[in-house]
Amino acid sequence: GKKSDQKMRKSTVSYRSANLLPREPEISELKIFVDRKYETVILPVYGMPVPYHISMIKNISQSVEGDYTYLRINFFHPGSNIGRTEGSFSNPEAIFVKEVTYRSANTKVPGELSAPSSNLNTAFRLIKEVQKKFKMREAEEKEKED
Amino acid sequence: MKDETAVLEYGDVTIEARGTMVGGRLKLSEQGISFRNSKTGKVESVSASDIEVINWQRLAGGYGLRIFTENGSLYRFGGFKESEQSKLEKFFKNTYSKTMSEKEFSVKGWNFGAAKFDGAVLSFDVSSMPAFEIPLNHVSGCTTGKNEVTLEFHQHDDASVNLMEMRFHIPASELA
Repeated sequence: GKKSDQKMRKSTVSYRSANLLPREPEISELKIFVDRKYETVILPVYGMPVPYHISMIKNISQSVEGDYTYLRINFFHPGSNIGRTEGSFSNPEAIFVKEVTYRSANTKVPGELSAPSSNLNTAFRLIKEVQKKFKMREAEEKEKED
Repeated sequence: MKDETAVLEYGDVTIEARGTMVGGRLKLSEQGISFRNSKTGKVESVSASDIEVINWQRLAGGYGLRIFTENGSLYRFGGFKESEQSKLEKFFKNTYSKTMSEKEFSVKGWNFGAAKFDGAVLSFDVSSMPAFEIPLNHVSGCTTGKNEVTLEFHQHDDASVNLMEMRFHIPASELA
C-alpha cells in the first residue's frame, strides 16, 4: 500500500489539561482570544471558551457591513481542499465544525475605550500572524523530511 | 428539619444569557434555585423537584454551576471560585440528595467530533468530552445542504461578540 499512515495529518492538541488555558480578561468577557504560545484560537460559544488549534483553521475573512464587523473562520474538513486527500483526516467519519461567523458592533458604547469590533480586528490580525508562523514551521519541517 | 445552612446565597455571580454573562444574585434553598438579574430585576427560578443534573464546570473565565432540568433546559451560573465547589457539593447532597459531579470539557482544540442532542441542548463532543454546548433556544434558523447543516443564531447587542452562524460538515454515512 501507500505510506498513508505517515502522510496522515497529525492532530495536534491545543492543551493537555484545562489548567493550561490562559486566564485573560477576553476569556472572562466571552470575547475571542488568540493564544500565541499554544497556537490556539479560543472562541466563545454560549459561555464556554472553546479552543481551536491553528492547524484546524483553513482560512479566515473579515468584512465590515454597515454598523457591524464580521469575522468568519473556515476550518479544514473532508472535502475542504482539493489536493488534500480524504485519507489525510484521521477521523473522516466525524462531524466537523466547518465554519463559524462572529459579529460585533462598530459603534462604541459610551464610556468604553474602543468599539466591540476591535476584538474581531485584533483576532483577525493575530490569527493571520499565528497561522503564518505555523505554516512556515510546517514547511521547514517538511523540507527536512524530504 | 433543616438547619440554617440549607440556604446558600451568592450576591455577585452571573448567568449565561444569550452569549454573555449577566450579573446578579443567586439563592439556593430547599425550594429551588433563583437568580435575580441585578440590572433588570428579572428573576429566573428553577424548582428543586425539576432539577435532573447538577454539574460543576469551567465557565467563561472561571467556574460555574450547570443545572439541567427534567424538561431539558440548561442553566449556567458563573463567577464561582474553585474553593466554593465543596460547599456547593455538600449543599446539593444534604438539601436535594443530589450529587454535583464535575463536567469536564475538551481542550484538545479539534474541530471534529460528534453532535449529541439532550433535551433542548446540542452538545459537540470531541473524544467523548463536550467541547461546547448550545442551548437550542439561541438558534434562530437551521438549514441543510449537501453534507452540511447550518445553524443561525439570534443576535443580541448586549453581547459584544456575537456568534452568528455555525456550519457543520456531516459525513455521508450520517446522512444515510
